Amino acid sequence: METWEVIGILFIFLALALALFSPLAFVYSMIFSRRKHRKMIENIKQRISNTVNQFGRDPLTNKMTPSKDEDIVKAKMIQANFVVGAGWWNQWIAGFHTLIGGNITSFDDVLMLARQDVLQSLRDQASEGGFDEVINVRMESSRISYLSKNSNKYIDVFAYGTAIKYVEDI
Amino acid sequence: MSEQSNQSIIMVSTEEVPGKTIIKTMGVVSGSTVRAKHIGKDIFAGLKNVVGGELHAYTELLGESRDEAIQRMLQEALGRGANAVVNVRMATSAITPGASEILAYGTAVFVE
Repeated sequence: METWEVIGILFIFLALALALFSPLAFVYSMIFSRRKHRKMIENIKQRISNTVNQFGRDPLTNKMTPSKDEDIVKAKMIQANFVVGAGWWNQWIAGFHTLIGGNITSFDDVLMLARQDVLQSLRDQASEGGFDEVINVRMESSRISYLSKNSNKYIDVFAYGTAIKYVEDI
Repeated sequence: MSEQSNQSIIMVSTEEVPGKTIIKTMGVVSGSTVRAKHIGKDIFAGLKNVVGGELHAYTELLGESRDEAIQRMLQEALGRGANAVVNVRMATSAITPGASEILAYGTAVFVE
C-alpha cells in the first residue's frame, strides 16, 4: 500500500512539473532573453572594434578582386557559421506581429547578432593566419528545424570568403 | 581545418587564384553530406532555445558537415588531377526534420 502512495505522489509531482514547465519557461524567457541578447551584442561590438583597430581598417570586402595591386603570396578559403535560436518570447512576439502586421523588430537583435558574429569569426581567422584582406565574402542563411516539423526553428548563418596575403614591402 | 590533410591543393572562393594563372579547367566537382545529431543534444538545444542565443551543438554539427563536404569535393578534384579548386560555393537545405544536407561545389583547375 505504501509503495503505491509513493508512486502516486511522484506521478502527481511529475505531472505538475510538466504542466508548469512551459509557462515558467515563457516568463523566464520574457525577462531574460532581451538582456542576454543585448549583452552578447555589446560583447561582439567590442571584439569588432578591437580587430578593426588591429588592421587599421575593416579587412572584409565583397569585391571580387584585391583592393591593392600587389603580388599575392597566399590565398585560402575561410568559412564560419553560427546557429542561433530566437527564444520563446521573440517567437511569440513575431507570431503576434503576423496577426496585426507591421515590422517584426524582435528578430532584429538575434539576426544582427548572428551576422556580426560570423563576420567577426572571419576577421579572427584572417588575423590568426596572418592574412591582410578577405575578399569575395558571401553570406547565406537558412532555417533549420530538428526533431519534428512543428518544433523550434533555428537560424543558421554561414559566411565564407577568400583570405589573401600580399608580398611584404622591403 | 580542411587544408590540413590536403596541403597541396588550393581552394578559393574567387574566380581566379590570386597571384597564379589558370592553365586548364577540369570541370565542376562537388561534395555533399547529410548529418544529424543524437536526440540528447536536440533536447538540450531545445532547452537552450527558451532564452535564445547561440546553440553550440548545432554550430558544431554544421561546421563539421561543411568540412566533410569540402573534403569530399577536394578528393574528387585530386582524383581528376587538379591542384586547385576555384569559385567554391556552398548550399544548405533541410531535407527532413532532424538532418540537413550541405553541398559544396567548385571548378577544378590546374594552376602554375
